Amino acid sequence: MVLTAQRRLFKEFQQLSRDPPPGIVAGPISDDDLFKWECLVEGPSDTPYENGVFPAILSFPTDYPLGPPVLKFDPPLLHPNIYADGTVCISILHPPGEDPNQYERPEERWSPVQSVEKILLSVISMLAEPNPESGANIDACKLWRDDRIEYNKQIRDHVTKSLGL
Amino acid sequence: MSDTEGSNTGSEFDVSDFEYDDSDGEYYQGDNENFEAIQSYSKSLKESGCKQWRLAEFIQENFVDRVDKLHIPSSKASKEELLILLHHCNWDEERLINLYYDGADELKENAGLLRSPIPGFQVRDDFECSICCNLEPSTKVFSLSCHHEFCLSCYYNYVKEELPKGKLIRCMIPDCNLSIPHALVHQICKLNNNSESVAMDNLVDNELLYYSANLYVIRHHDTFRWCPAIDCQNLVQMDLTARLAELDLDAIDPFDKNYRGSDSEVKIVTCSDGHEFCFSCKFENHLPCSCSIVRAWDRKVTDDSETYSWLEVNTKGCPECGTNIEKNGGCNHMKCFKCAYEFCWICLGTWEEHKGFYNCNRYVAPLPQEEKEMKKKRRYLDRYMHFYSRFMEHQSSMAWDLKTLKSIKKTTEEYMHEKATDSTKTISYNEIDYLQESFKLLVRGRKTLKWTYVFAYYLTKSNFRSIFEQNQDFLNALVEQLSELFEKIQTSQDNMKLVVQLRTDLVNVSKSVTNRRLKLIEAAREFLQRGLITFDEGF
Repeated sequence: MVLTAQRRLFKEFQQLSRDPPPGIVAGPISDDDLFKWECLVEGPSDTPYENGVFPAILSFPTDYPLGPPVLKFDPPLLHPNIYADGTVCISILHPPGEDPNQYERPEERWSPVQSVEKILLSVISMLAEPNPESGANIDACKLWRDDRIEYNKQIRDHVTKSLGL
Repeated sequence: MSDTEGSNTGSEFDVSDFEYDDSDGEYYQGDNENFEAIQSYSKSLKESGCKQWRLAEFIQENFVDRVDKLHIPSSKASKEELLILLHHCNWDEERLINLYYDGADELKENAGLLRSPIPGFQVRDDFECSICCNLEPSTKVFSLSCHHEFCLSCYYNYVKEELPKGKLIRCMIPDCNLSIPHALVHQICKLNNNSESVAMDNLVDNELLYYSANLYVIRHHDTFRWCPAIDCQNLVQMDLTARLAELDLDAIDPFDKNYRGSDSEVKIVTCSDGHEFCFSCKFENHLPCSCSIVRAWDRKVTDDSETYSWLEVNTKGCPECGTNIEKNGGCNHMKCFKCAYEFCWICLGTWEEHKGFYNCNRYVAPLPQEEKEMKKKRRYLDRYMHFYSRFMEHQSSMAWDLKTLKSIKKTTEEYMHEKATDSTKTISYNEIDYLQESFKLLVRGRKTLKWTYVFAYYLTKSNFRSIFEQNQDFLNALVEQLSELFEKIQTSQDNMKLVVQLRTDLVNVSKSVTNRRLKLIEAAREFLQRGLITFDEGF
């Protein structure tokens, strides 16, 4: 089981470094542990996240690719679909077995044919288009819906600070 | 014990119908000649409008045969495709036909009908599965006509996850809608477990159809029940019209004083293997209790409320930290284990004040309300313990009975085995096959007896309660007598001799147990219907 996961993760890492998609850098933190990856996600242009580079940690389960990894922004990012602790909540990271809310279609959820690349691309589109229907951070949802100007400002401040400007 | 000639035909209600004249030592009435008569009696009593299914029969008749009968003019769909279409429409032919004529192509698309030919299983050289990244010189690969290929073990893992949902299983690629035909699902499971020969045509054992049956039963839970017995895969179907008559059962409160009867109509059904259970609450046969009494009892037993009552009656809380303390010695000088607070057991005051003189000896009358509460609680607890212990006693006796039977069974089997070579052994199967049947009746008797204690626990005091208790005593005596006979066989030196010798006794007593049991249930039902007894939930 662990061997399968390691083999698969190694393949995915090879694939990602050979042919990296735009706006994404990802790879294992150390050579000893393939189950913890560090990722850098670029904020999509024409959004308040523009120009930002957001670090996140991907943690893979030992039964990967049967189970999905967990993606956590560190430091946390203000976004309706990101929990206050930084954990990302989107359908591709949810196993197909359980759907407590009954609104995600099975083909959108995690399956072994998905990949790290698809997850990170989904995250970029999530940054561009928040889904307040299934919010993870209620305060962010409220702010996004009721006071977009303040929402944009807070994110731009976060970006500026993170770049050390 | 012999049969009596008296038979009970009185239709007019009469207390004496349910009482027994014990003067001549006869416990039961009725002249049933054999087990079959008893069984058909209990059947007609309990199961009108029921159909028993074995799982394979169910799948055959409801899924496979339906496909055979299905005829869609001008469609050239194969049997396999029809099975997929019907499964897609939740085994509803009418819906299938409507959808088909609304748009055959759309239906086929949604059902993920295969475009032939299917590559199916192939052995490929140097194939790297994109899920497990395994690269072997030779790999078993599966794909549908979409050619999305994955290695067999990854496909099996996926199928295993999907099966319990009971729906059609699609290609692993999320956007690819193609359905895997039922027979191929079965092959994936079998091939992965390295069975070489796979029968294609036997749909009755099909894993996907099994889970689909499960889903079907859940969707039709008003008419279908799985047998709750362990490892039993039988189904019972209730005739809808019979069900309609008793639809409002749950709306009625049996603890309502004005309530009359219909709750006493507990629907006990039997599966093809003879396991009895209640159709409404899926519990074992709990007659004479109604489902609501069973629920109340179950809540009481599981929520542990009586533990708290026991604590309240038998312990005192430490005045400092509240820990429950039980007094187990004579000295009234208590020291809490937990917080080391020292106090007087009698007045619960701090021990400091007791060092020189006992000021708690002065009588301060307890509030009458408090004292009454305490006594009431103690009485309730005693009452509960009385019934609970008997209930549990019979439960564990049942397990012991089972052990006895198993040991007897083993002996008889050994005997039969040796009989082939030993001409001195002459007992035939006919002479011992009553054992199983007698034992079944013993278990049923015990089960009913067990539940009579729950019934009695909630029963308010009346003359009819005394009659009920008397019936209970009779049943109890007979059940014990029967149990003893079984034990006698088990413990004797020559079991086989006794098996034959005691046959008449065992058959007779087990018949009496059943008669008594049915009489008791019938009496309880009639009392309830006539409103002669009432229940009190307050105990």
